Amino acid sequence: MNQSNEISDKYSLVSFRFNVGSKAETDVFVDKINEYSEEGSFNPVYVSAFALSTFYEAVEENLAIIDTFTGVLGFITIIAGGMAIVISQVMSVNTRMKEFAIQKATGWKNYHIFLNITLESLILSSLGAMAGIGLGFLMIYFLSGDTSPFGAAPAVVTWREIVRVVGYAFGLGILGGTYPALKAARVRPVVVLKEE
Amino acid sequence: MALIDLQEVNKTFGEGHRKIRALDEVTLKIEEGDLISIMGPSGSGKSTLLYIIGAMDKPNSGKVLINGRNVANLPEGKLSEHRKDMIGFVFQNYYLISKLDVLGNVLMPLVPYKKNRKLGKKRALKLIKFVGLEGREHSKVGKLSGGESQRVAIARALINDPKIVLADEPTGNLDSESGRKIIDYLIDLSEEGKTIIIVTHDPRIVKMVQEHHLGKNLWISDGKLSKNPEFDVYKW
Repeated sequence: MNQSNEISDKYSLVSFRFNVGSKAETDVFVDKINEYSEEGSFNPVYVSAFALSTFYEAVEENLAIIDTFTGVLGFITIIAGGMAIVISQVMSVNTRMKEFAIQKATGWKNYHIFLNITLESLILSSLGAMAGIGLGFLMIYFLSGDTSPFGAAPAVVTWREIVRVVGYAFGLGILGGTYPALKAARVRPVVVLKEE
Repeated sequence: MALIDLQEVNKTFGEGHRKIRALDEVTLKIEEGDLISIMGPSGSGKSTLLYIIGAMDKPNSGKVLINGRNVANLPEGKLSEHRKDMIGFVFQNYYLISKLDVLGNVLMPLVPYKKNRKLGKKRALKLIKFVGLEGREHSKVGKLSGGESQRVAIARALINDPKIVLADEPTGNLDSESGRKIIDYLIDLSEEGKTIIIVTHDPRIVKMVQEHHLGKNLWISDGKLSKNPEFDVYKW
């Protein structure tokens, strides 16, 4: 610091790194440097000190906010996906009431129709999951490549993530398919067939 | 023991002053192998009677004994099983599943029952041949004529080898030649021992049934069933 005048003539920004010890000791050390600088003791150089641990804490806080935000987005996506399955399956069931009525008239039981519709929902959500995984791989490929506007950031898709996506899709398929399946299974053939 | 034994069956729809009595103390015995036509004007209760015999609807009171078992009080699951084992339906509007081909439609009742599926295809092909649609197994049902569609519906009704075939206005959407063929198929089935009940308001069907040695005609009006001895189809 005694050579600060000499340094200021040569460089506009200089950084020093000190290994101090524990976090508590580092904080005391940083506070002392900053106090010293504010008193003008390094004049004409202005010194600002910070602990790397504080910097990491700030980064972690920001990452936690991003995590919460993506979590909320994910939750909204799950709700929207579930609603999409419910709506598309309810519409499909409504247009196929005669089909279910005739199936029941020929001996299908309620649970046969219920399982059939639930299976359809599972297939629908699995196709969605496959499309999502494929799209995810493509995005990672482009975003982590040299042409990426964010720079070539390395990214990895783990089996755990894929299993999680498939798990969500199956859960959504079952949850979203339950109401339409119940509606189809409870059809009274005599009511539907007499409407004609 | 009669195959079908209805005892004082009542069925009403609606409530209060809008109450409609569709069946009024209907008592009826039908033996195995009988060929029955039930004729009556629109709203007379003939389709309601058919649906009650077919365990698709329940009476408000009375007994519906099919092969000695009262199906009027069976839970839904047992009713489905009963329909699978005992009843084949043929409807006026065929109700074929358009995304399936002829073979798929005939096999449809067997889909949830794995045991039956193994023998099902062989039987389905035999039935398709019986109704004169050999070679059309993989045709889309949307491309069939009304008569052909109804023949597919007959094959579908027979896939579970039911004892009873119930036909609700089976010729209602067909020209007279196609309609006659459909009734011929139903009469053939009767000769093979199936119990056939045809609900109609077409006097030509009543006449065909009346002329057959197994045939019996019934008349229903305002929910009341009669043998209608005064009814003469030749005067229609």
